[in-house]
Parts: sequence; structure tokens; C-alpha cells
Amino acid sequence: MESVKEQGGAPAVVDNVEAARRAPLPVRLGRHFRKYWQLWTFALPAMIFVVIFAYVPMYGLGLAFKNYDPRKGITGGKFVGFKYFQQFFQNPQFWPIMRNTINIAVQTVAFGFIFPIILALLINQIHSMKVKSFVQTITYMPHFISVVVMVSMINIFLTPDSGILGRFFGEQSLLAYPSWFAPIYWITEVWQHCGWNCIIYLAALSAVDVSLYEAAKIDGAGRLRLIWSVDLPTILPTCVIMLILNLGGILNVGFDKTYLLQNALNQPGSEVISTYVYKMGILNGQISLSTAVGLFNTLINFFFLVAANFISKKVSDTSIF
Amino acid sequence: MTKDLKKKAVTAIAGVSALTMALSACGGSGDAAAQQLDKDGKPLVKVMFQSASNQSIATMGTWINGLQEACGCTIEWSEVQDSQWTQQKAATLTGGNPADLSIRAYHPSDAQKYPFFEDLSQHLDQMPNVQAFFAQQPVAKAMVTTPDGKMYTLPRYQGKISKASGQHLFINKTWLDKLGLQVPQTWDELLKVMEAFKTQDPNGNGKADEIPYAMRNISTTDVGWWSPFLFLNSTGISTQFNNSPSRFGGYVDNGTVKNYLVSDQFREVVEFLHTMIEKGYSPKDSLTQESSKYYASLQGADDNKTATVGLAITNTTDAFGTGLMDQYEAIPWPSSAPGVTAVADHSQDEGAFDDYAVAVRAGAPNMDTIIKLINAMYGEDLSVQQRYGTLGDWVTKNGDHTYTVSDKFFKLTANDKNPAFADRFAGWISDDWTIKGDASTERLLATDEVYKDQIAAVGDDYFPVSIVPSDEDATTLSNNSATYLSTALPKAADWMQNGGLDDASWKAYVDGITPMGIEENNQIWQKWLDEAKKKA
Repeated sequence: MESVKEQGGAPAVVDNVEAARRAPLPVRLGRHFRKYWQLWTFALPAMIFVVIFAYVPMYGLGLAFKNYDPRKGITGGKFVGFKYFQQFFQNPQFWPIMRNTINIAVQTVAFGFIFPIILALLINQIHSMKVKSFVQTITYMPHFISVVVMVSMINIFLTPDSGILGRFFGEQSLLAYPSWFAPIYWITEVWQHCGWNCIIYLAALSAVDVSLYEAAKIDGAGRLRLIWSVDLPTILPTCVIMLILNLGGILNVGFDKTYLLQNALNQPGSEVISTYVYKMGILNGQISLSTAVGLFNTLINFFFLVAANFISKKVSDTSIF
Repeated sequence: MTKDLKKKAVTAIAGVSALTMALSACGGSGDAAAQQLDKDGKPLVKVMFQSASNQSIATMGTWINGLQEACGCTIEWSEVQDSQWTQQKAATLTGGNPADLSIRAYHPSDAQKYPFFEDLSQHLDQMPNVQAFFAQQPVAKAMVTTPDGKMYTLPRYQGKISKASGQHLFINKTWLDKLGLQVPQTWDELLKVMEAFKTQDPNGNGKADEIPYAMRNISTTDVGWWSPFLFLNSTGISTQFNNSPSRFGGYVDNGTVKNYLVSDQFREVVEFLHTMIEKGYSPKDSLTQESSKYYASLQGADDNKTATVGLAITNTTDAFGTGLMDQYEAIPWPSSAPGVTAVADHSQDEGAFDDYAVAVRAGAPNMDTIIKLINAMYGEDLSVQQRYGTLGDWVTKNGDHTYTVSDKFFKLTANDKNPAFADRFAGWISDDWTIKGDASTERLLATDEVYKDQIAAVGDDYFPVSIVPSDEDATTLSNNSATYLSTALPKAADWMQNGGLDDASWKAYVDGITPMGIEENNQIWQKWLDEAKKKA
């Protein structure tokens, strides 16, 4: 284009696309919205929702840096800088809490990511539609059990002597051991949500080109080979996106489940950031300290999200932004 | 069309920003009209009641209308169930919008931290009933007076028949008699009794289903009701587990505040409790079992007909169910060793007094009416009716300040609605009034009698209910105790369950938790203990 212009005055043919691109910003915006306003209207309610419920409340984060004074409200209060962060970092509980949070979170994210993929690949191998929908229904049913009920079920299962699992583990409930807390947490988490989370992979698997199977079979591929060379590459981008999204919440160990499963014996392994925030903020009324701890948690999550996205962009060209 | 669209956009943006403003405004608006009237022009008062699961304003009976008549106003009730209150309280306080009048909702500590409450001391002259209450019970006045001399809440007093601790040790007397055993006086004797309970089939059903000692689990945040650490009383450290600094480790030794979590006596108790679990006297999963399972175990087997528990800590024999309650008897705390003077739980005042009966929102409309209403609630008729239900229906007025509570009040089952505020009432029962027929309270008081000598042995070494720390100190106290308890309680639980408590590990534990604020808390408690002694 540049060359055309340089050759002498006005170009012979007016390039509409180029002209449109060179128009001043307000004009371009006007054109854009005139063309796409229906789409924007669709998106608008969701955007308003996000602004009101996700962005507006963010001004509350200022509490982490202020000495909260109810007289002056959320925006008032004396600025104290990083006092509350320091208080948390210097707390003797800081390292145990971090260790537990990371321990539980990493195991849950890792296994919670792998098992739905395996389940999806297995379900995909079932040919009878009836059996397939039966298996799917059974596996995603537990997803709808509320956390409170789930925790009671875990307690009953692990009761020594009478529980269906507890009877094999001696005289003491497994919930008494700090080191067992993380496995109990992620195993029940996987059991509950595996079926539900595999739905998205099943959807991705339905997009596999059937001719690929035929071609591979002619080349002598067995079932495992088909999974490895056809199914997995097809769902890999979905897997990566799901992993990045999961990592965005890596330190969000479910508060309700952890808190309900906690007891005096397993507390050294079960005190995590969210339960600490609850105890400090809601029970002890220390709003500023718990805001600071919560913000710290969010920043770590944010870091993981960006890092995972960056790596995956470099390695596999798949990313969410 | 473009113009039209623009107009719409402007309206939309205005709408959204108005909404946002409305949302942020609901956080802070405290100015209400001085008058708030119902549709008939009567003053309207909004009252919040923190209810138990078997309570509802709608089923309270006719006495509830007496409140409206007394103040000449219309009451708009709201209820929050106690199970949700912890969360909701924080929301109402940070949002700055408590109800005009709240019953059993906010403590003086809340009111010190959040400045939304009316200083009621300036209205005392309008409340002669409250004045009479304070004249008779000065400690009640002291327990709601904050260090700056304000009074943001009013206390409630259940009367002298409620001056009893809720922490009692019960033994199955039927089993003792059957096996020809004496009531144990020391831990050694107690352990022998436990062994006999375990091995000699005292309930006679041929099954080894006896639980010699039903141990309650321990909490992760404080030391609470019916905690096994009540055995501290055996070592001479008096507990106050109904409610006091004792729930966070504090105790008073010859006038000096100390923390039992780092005391040798605590170590003895932990070792003793470990023996209980190790020898199988208490279920191996005592510390992890849910409380519901523990409560169920007290009721025995065969539909409350066969006792399975030999020893338990609870408040009255009611816990064992009507089928088995006759088998159990409260016993004084056995001494940890011969020669040690055992004491008992000193929660008598905590049982009768509460510091959070009523709180009023500062700047609430119709303030004079509210004060009038409160005064009426602390009057004789309404206090008694709040406590037990409508006069003539649930309580009989015999004249001369004497009342008889109907039998049917105590025949209510767990599913029946309570006809009164019961122990959540906002009022007082004067020592000059006589309440007859309150069987369960009388039972509690009679149980407490067993500990009379052991309570007397405590002397002045206890925390009076009138300890009210300043807001700043209260924050430090709760910060520190949250920190050291989160280390101490799991460690104690570990020792109780798995043993391994030796000199080295005990020293490491004491050295570990002492710097976590134990000293600082002791000093702060000492300071406010001395203040409280000056007040009352």
C-alpha cells in the first residue's frame, strides 16, 4: 500500500479497507458498534454483572492496607501499608498454613486434572449408547451432593469398626492423621467431580474425525494406540485450557469442606489459608488482616494463572490470552 | 435512530451508576428519621431476636403482644437462628445496620469495636426496672460497663436458681453398686473403676459394649463445654468453661493470672486422658467422632433402656435420657493424687448472667419508645413471661412474687416450639421472686450442690463475669489465643491419642508456645481482672 502512495499522489484505486483503518478512532468505534451492536447487547448484561460483582467490590481490597475503622467505613481508616501482610508472614502459623495449602491444592489440581481425562477416554471406548449414558449418569451423580452431606458421608465411611472403609484402617478414623488429610481431600474430590468434569472432554472427543480411526486401524493400530495417537492429540488443547483455568484457582482449597473435615487431631495438616481467613476475619472480627491474607492468596493464584498461560503459549501455542 | 440509541445509552449508564451508588450507599447510611410510624400512626420499632431452632415469634403465645401494649408501639420482629448468627453478626456489623433493638445479639466487645450502639447508661433514669436490677445485682452492671464507662448492652439474669455451672462429672451409680465399688476419690481409684466397668459387664447384657468413660472431642479454636480438660479441676486448677478467659487457657493462682496450657497440671491431665484412651476406657476415635455420636452414646443402647456409658461430663442427668437418668449421679472431681485438693468448675455466675441481652442501635427512630419497651421487658410480669411463657397458660402467678411453672413446659419434646424466649430472654428474675416447678433448672442447681465444698476451695481465684477488656486489648487477646491454641490443642490431642509425652517433648512444647503471646495475654487478663475487682 505504502508503495502505491509513494509513486505519485492519490492512488488509482481507493482502498476501502485501508481507508477505514485509517479513520480517526471515534469514527472507527462508531462503525464498529453500528455493525456489531447486537453482539454487544448480548454481552452487556454479563459485563454489567461482572463490573458490579467483581470489579466494584475490589475497592474493598484497600482494607488490606488500612486499619479498618467501622466509623469511617470501608474507604476510611488509617493507612498502615503492609502491616497486616507482615503480621501474617511473621505469624508462627504462616509456614504450616502455606505448606498445607500448597500440599492439598497441588495434589487436588494434579489428580483432579488427570482423572477426568482418563475417565473420558474410557467412556469414549464404550460403544453401546445405553451403557455409555448409564455410566455417565452414575459417575456424575455425586457432583450434586452438597458439601455438608459429603463431609458427613466421609465421616461415616471412615468410622472405625462400622464404616465401609474405616473398618480396614484400625481403631482410629483416618481423619485423625494430619498426613492423611490431603489424600482424603483429593480422593473424595476426584470421586465427587470426576464424572462431571469429564463431560467437556467427552464433547471434545466427539469431534474426532472417524476417518482417522479407520486410517489408523488399517495401519495396524490397536486400541491403546488409537487413544494415544488420535484421541489424546484431539483433546489436548481442551486439556491445556482446562489446566490453565484450574491453575488460576490453585490455592483455593475449598473452605467449607476443609473446615468441616477439620478436627483437633488433623489440624496440623488441615489448617489452610481459607480456614485461617474465616477464623481471623469472621470469628475474631479482624477484617483488615483477613483481607490481606485473602489478597495474598489471590495474588499467588494470579501468578500461577499467568505463568501457566505463558508457558503453554510458548510450548503448545494454546492459551487463553 | 442514532439519537434514540444515544438517549437509551445515557439512560442505561445513568441507571447502572445509580444502582452502583445505591449499592455502596447501603453500607453507610445511619441517619434515619427520628420518627418511624406504622400505618395507624403508632411508633414502629424493629426488633431482632436470635432464636434457637425450637423458637419462633409466631408461636410464642399471647405474652408477646404484651410487649407492644407496654410500649404503645408496633413491633416488627425479625429472627435469626443461632446457627446462622455468627456469620450474620459480622455482616450486620461491617454493614453498620443492626436492628433498632437486638435481643441476645451483640456483646459489649462488639459494641466497643463497632460504634453503632446507643450508650444506654444515659437512659438509665428512664428505666426504673433496670435500675432496680442493678441495685440488687451490682455485678450485672459491672459486666456491661465498658472501660470508658459506657453501657452499650444490658445483661440478663436468670435468678438465683440458675447460679450453677454446666460442667459436671457423672458416674453410673447403678453400675458402681452392682459391682460393689465406692465412688472414686482419686484418679487411681477412678482408673480401677474404669477397668471394672470395662471388664465386668456392669450393664449385664453379656456384650462388651460398655464405654467406661465417654470422652467428648476437643475443639480446634477454644476449650469449651464438657471438654475432657475439665479434669484440670482434679489437679487444683479451677476451670470456668461456661464462658471466661478459662476457655483460652487462663486461670488465677493466688491472685495471679497464669495459663494452664503450659502448666505441669495440664501435662498430668493430658497423660491421664491418654491412659483413658490407651487402656480402651474411652473409644479410640473419641477425639474425631462427631458430637452427635457422643450425645447419642450417652443415651445407651436398646432405645434408652440399657446404659453403655460409665462416666461422662455433662450438665444434668437429662443428657442420659428419661430411661437412664436415674442411673447417673454427679460426683465431686476425684483428686489427681492423694493429698491434692480438687476443685470444681466456677461458672456459677456465667450460668446466671449474660452480657448481651439487649442492644439498641444508636440513632434508632422512636428512641423514647424503645427505652420504654426495654424498661417493660425488665419488669416483673414480662421478665417471667419471656422466660417461661404466657401467664395463666405456662406459668401460674400465685401472688406475692411467686410463680409456678407448668409441668407441660418440661414435657415439650425437641420438635415442639418453645412458648418463651427461655434462657435467651432479655430481663431478670429478682432474688426476691420465687419460681417453683422449674424442674430442669432445679436439677442443675441440685447437681451443682455436689460440688459445694470444691467450689468453696476455689476461694477468690476465679475470673469474675465483670471482666470487660478494652477493644484494643480484646483484639490482642484473641489474636494471641488463636495463635497459641492452634498449636497447643492439636499437640495435646496428639498426646492424648498417641502418647509420647516425655520431658523433652513437653519442654519443646512449652518453649514453643510460650512466645506466642501467652505472657502478653496473662498480663492483659491480669490488668482487667484487677479492674473488675475494683468495679464490683
